[in-house]
Amino acid sequence: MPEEKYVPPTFLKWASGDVAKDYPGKTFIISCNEALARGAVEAGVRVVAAYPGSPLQYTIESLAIASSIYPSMHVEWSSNEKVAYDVTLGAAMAGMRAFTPMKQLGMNVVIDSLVQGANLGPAGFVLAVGDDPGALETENEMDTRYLARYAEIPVLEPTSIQEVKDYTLMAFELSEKIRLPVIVRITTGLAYQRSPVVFGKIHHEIRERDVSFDKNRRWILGDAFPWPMKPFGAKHMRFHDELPVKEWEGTVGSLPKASFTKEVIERLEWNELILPDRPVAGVIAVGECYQDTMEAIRYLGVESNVAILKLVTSFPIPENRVREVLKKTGSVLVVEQIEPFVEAQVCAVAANMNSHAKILGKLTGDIPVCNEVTRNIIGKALGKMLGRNFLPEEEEKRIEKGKDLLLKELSFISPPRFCPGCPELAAGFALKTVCNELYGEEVTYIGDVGCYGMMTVPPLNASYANLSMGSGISIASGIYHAGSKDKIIAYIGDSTFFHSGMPALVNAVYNKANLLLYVLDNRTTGNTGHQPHPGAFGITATKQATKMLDIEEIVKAFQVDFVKVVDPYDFEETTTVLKKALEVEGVSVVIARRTCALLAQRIMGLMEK
Amino acid sequence: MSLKPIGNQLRINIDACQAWNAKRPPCRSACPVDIDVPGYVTLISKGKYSEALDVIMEKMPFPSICGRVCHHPCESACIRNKIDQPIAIRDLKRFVGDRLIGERPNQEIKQTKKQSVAIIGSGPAGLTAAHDLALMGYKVTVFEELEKPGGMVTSCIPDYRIPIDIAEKEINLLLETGIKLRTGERITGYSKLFENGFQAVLLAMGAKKPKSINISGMHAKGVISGLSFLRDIKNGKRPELGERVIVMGGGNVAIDCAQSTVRLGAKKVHIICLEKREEMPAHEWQVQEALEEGVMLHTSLGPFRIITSNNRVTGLETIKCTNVFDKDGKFSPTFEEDSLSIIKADTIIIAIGQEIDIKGFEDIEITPSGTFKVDPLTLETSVPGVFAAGDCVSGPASFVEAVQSGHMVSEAIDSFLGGRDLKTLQTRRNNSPSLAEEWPIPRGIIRRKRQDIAQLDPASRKGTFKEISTGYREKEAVREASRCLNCGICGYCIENFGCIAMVWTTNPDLPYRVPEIDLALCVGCGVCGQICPHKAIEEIRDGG
Ligand SMILES: Cc1cc2nc3c(=O)[nH]c(=O)nc-3n(C[C@H](O)[C@H](O)[C@H](O)COP(=O)(O)OP(=O)(O)OC[C@H]3O[C@@H](n4cnc5c(N)ncnc54)[C@H](O)[C@@H]3O)c2cc1C
Ligand SMILES: Cc1ncc(C[n+]2csc(CCOP(=O)(O)OP(=O)(O)O)c2C)c(N)n1
Ligand code: SF4
Repeated sequence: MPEEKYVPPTFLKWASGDVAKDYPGKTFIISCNEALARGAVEAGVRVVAAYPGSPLQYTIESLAIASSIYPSMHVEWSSNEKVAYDVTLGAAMAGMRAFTPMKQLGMNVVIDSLVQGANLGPAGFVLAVGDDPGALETENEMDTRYLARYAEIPVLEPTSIQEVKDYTLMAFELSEKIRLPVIVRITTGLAYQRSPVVFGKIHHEIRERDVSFDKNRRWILGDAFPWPMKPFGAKHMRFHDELPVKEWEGTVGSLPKASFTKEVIERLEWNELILPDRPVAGVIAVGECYQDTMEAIRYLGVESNVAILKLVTSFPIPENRVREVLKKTGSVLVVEQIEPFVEAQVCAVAANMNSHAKILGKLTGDIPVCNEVTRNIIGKALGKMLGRNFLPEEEEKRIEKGKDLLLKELSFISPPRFCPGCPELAAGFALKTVCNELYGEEVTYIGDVGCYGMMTVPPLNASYANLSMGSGISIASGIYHAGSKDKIIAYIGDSTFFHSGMPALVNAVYNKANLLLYVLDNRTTGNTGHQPHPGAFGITATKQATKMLDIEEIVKAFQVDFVKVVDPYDFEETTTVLKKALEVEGVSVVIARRTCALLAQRIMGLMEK
Repeated sequence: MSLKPIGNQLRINIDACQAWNAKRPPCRSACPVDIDVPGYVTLISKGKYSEALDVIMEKMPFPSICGRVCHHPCESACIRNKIDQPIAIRDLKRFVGDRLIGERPNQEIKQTKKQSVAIIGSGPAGLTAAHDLALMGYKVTVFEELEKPGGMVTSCIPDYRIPIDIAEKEINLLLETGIKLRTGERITGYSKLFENGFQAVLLAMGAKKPKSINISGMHAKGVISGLSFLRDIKNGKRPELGERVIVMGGGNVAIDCAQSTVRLGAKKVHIICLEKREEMPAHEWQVQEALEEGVMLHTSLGPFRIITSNNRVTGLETIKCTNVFDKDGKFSPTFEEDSLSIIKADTIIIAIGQEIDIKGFEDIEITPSGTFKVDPLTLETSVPGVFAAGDCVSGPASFVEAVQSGHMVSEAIDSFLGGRDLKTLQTRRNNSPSLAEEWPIPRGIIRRKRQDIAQLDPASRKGTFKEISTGYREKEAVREASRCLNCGICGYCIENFGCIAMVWTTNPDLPYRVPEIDLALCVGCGVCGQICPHKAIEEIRDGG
């Protein structure tokens, strides 16, 4: 295979070099990922880092193209999300605008640095997070906003692709003003939209400005503290306006108070309020839901009778505007994706002002908590609040029936399958064969996150678990230490190995676990669309040649006694080596190395990009 | 998105792939009545019991009886023997048979033909033929000397092997399909039957005349015949035997006699037989059962004379047997001189074999061993229109062979009466068999122990004729059935490897689905070619 000619693939459907075009005022039809990229480019972003994860991996691919045009821009695939976050945080600390997009699961990985990093008061630092209502592309529905609240940093939820571009840009400005990271939350429904966007000016001067890392500060707990004041818990105090700001204001520099953040947010025009004279009811529509809510309102023909608050800042919320809505209406419907996060804040505002307005939404069951909130769901809830039918009854019935049919059909849909020629399937089959022969049913297989997650489904049935990235080895070790008499197998993908598998392997060796680690090295991050990683092809996100780390050598350095690389397409060899590896006491590692079948074809130019 | 090759694409050579599918798998080949064993076992594993029963009933009208008494040659042929242990095929058959015994649909029988057939003997051979002929539309009458139909199954085989109520239930179900049965009627000649309007006569009289030997003391009190002993027990009698019993004989009947004796309370039960242990005609598992129950087995030992006092048995003088068979394998025992010894006994049971009772049929030609001589193809005896089947042709054999012979003779009679061409019989008997030794075993089969079958422990078997084996419960049956490798239908590539490019398809020349490689998907990784147990997957080379 002509591996040396490898060029990282670009999904032209979702990523393009348009984002770098310096045509202010011109309109381009772009995707959500491109809009995020464009926002960052316009903001003069200097450092971008990320680990792949749907739906935002194409943002990096667009920015990688932009960096070839604006070479001062650094764009990287990092080895994991926390690494990416820390790299971008560092750039922000050095006074440059920095950006890290990730999938929601990435937030879970980032959380330690996220909470502490907010404390430092970084400026011009923006995160984009892709949440997945309905878990259409992920293993679970999770709501980033709780983590934002935990980390005490603001969240913006654009309502259209234009706004994605605009508010990404403005998020940098906001971040600089309030000295906090800012999160742009994207939900799946928005992530795969594409629409005309008017481009703005690119702030080259910001990108090209000088580094200004402040060595007078001690970047430990925020710059608000003149040593030796007790610094601990400062961020939490700051968030609640409990810092004795006055005493040292202006001495070493200071961070704005939380009340300042609230004020800024309150003043933002983004949270548009349409307030008729005598509204019959109110609607608060958050982010992506705004589009569908407006369509439902128009369909019902009640534009002029309801108060509409388009909410972009879901944390913190603009309380005054919410109060206005509550004052004027008897009932307010809150529409948002995943958790009743804004709704709970609205309830708190209502309680504080002794409002009698009924607040409807996910907490009251008017909108389901699980699965994507769709236009129909919104329309129904609106209709119910206004005492009218959203759709004619027959139509409703038809939809219900369709749902039943769909469910029935879904039950026939076969489980996800490996691509034809998948080397991971071949590797898994060889292992299953050998284990069957040697141990029968006395084998415990623990998977990890990647295409090889499909080992769990028939006909292979060669994996009993997969949890979060890098967890497989440690779960397997735990099962061993718990006293299992089974032969224990842990799988890991090559990208996952670099993501978080290495510490787990070190731990397994150090603490004398007895297991076989089967590295499914398909030379790419397969599941998310073939991004390179430190062990694949020696190439960076921006197509520059770099060092290629060898998993085999790393594992040897971890003092694993048995390490062998096999070609999973060679069944005999693979089974022979596996048999030997399985006999080894302690941790043994077999690396099944063969380029992902899809990627191989792409490299050979045999498939459309 | 279309996928193009990484290497040469592959295709399945359908001849090589199907070479093994075309053969009957070893278990089925070994089954005298050709039951589709993998078929019904797989159905059981999927919980489809009534479909499984249908598959069995196609060939075996007595699932519950066969599921208990059959000597299961299928299990000896099972491929699992080479990996761990064979599938418990017989007990799985019993499981579905028993489970659905109350709900078996009655096959509707329409009498479409004018001819009628007389069948003498209601053993498994006679009843099977009767059932087949009735299904073909003939009028069938079965004559049975005893009060109950069923032959050896209901008259001799002990209840701890096949309880009488189960056997009767199953036999009655079969008779209900419209077969006329006349019990208590001993037939002594065929001419009357022809005169009475039957167009064909089937002799299925079994082999029920006990063989005897000529040694002194044979007529003393306390010497009894094994068969009549078993028949008495089956009829509810409990003969007085005394404390010490000797059973003479090395076959299954002898073992059954010994085990029955244990159940009647005898303290010391001996079996003596001429054969060496490994030569004994009895099935090994039956011998084991008897040993478990405390029976003392003396092999290579022959009877010399029966010791009596006041014309009552007191013991048996025995002599060592050096060889039972001569060089040609013929029965011709030789004994060691000066090797006499005595075993004390109150009762001696003679179970050294049975022969045919041909009284009334002396004009029909017989073989040197005293069984009816039949044409191997037409199964007709020397008298036109008179057929024979079962033990009275083969000599004492087995239940399933009697059923097999019943099936074959019914076709032969049908052909005689003009129902079918003789040629069709030939193909039936000529199924393409296969041997376990040649059968390719795919890799990666998990060794799984055979599911245990609950059994009465040896101590609690004494004093009762309750069944030894209690059979599988549902869960156990399903688990056991799922061990089946389904040898007849190879889909190894699809069912185990599961590459998405491999799909089931139909082939106009074949009655079952076959695997195929979808060339729109195959990228030519070549893995399937390495794992196919039949080496039936080959690369498509350039230009080929
Ligand atoms: C004690 C014992 C245990 C056995 N155990 C097993 C076992 O575990 N497994 C196994 O596979 N096989 C076993 N067998 C063998 C099996 O039972 C026979 O091979 C089988 O029953 C033969 O069937 P058949 O139909 O040929 O004859 P039979 O079953 O002998 O039936 C013949 C019938 O014809 C009747 N009959 C005979 N002459 C006349 C006549 N002139 N008029 C009317 N009726 C007549 C008889 O009364 C009898 O009912 C056993 C046999 C015995 C004796
Ligand atoms: C924390 C986290 N980040 C990102 C993802 C998205 N993700 C799912 S599978 C996968 C690829 C893993 O690549 P690799 O281990 O090489 O396995 P492959 O898919 O190539 O088999 C990624 C990045 C995730 N599930 N969790
Ligand atoms: S994308 Fe690559 S690694 Fe994933 S299933 Fe397909 S061939 Fe296998």
